[in-house]
Amino acid sequence: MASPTPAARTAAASAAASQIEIQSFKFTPATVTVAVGTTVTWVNHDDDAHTVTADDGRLASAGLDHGEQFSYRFTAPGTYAYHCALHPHMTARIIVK
Amino acid sequence: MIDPTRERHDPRDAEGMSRRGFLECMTWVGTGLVWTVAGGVLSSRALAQPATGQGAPGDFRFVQISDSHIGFKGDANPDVLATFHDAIAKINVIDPAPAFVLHTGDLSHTQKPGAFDTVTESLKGVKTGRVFYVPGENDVFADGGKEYLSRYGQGTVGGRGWQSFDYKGVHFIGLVNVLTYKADHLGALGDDQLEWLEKDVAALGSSTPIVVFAHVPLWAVYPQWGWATGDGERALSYLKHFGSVTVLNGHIHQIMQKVEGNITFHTAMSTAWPQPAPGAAPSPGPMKVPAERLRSVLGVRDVTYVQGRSRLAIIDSPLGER
Repeated sequence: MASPTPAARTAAASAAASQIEIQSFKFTPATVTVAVGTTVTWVNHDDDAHTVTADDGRLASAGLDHGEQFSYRFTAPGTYAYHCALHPHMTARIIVK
Repeated sequence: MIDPTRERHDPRDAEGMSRRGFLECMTWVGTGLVWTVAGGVLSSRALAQPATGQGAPGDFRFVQISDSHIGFKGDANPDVLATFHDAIAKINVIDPAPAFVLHTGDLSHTQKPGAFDTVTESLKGVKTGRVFYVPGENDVFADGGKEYLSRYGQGTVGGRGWQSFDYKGVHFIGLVNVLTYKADHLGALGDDQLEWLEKDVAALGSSTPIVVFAHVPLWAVYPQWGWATGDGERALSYLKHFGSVTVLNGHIHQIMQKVEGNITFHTAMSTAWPQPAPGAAPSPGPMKVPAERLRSVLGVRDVTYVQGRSRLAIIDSPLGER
């Protein structure tokens, strides 16, 4: 296998950062930059349920109970501001490049 | 849970309840209660069963329950249906029976399939004339309120969930503050509902007692945790000239009280699980207490209206002793 090109290495680094933890009513990290095509996974560690809901409605998870997760593959560049529909003061964003 | 005695004293609050008025309240509500006055706020807790009312024909009582979260599974309460049924049993021993029950939202936990059926079926067993509902965010977030409104929206304004009704001279207003969001990401009532509210109360005399019920507190309990209504102040501005306004909310799963002029605010216990006091934990959410203590931090609220009294008698009863 050929050594990764710089672009591939960037994508790999982005993929490694594509899991977002939901804990103590926060999305962590709050801002994540990923390459187009990256699948981002959110995992809820809180006892209360949360959702991942884009402010403009482009993506919306169901209610995630403790231990449940939601994944979404970003296929178009842009900034995706999102929040928890159950606790709308929880806000964060994904930047897709 | 908040200790009401820790609330900040606001000298304006003292005007709402004179010492004489306070003592009168003590005598007419009955014995078996611990009364405290903190920051001018009168609060009470039943030591045993709520006092039996032997009131005049114009008097009545009703009950508030909140945050049943049917469908929740977690350590904070492994059986939310059992505690919900305990709450119903608690209501069913109130004598005389309450005229009606207000459920102030979060009937379901995240609109879990079957949760609304369970709530409706369970509340068929409550001894009261009628149950009124307002939604919590858990009841509407997944579908914008479609299922909730199809079940509980009949008789509300345009089928949108909010409503008002009169009972024995008291004007009740049920508001929805979980379907519209402000730019600051706080739940809001929205312009349509606010315009309706302004018209709804415009024709009422200022001596008409008002009771407002809604899920999220209409006052800014703790905006950092979303415990506030973005445009709540505007709603309250329409009510300020009334001599007696009682605001009953849920959402925060604990008792808090505040008096502002003639408006008295109360949040209720949940029937499912408690939450930490504002700022007392890194975040809100289900708070685990020892199993034997759970029922002491869950409860129902019994409200008595006595004709001619400006302030309603509110008794919060835990489902069980510690």
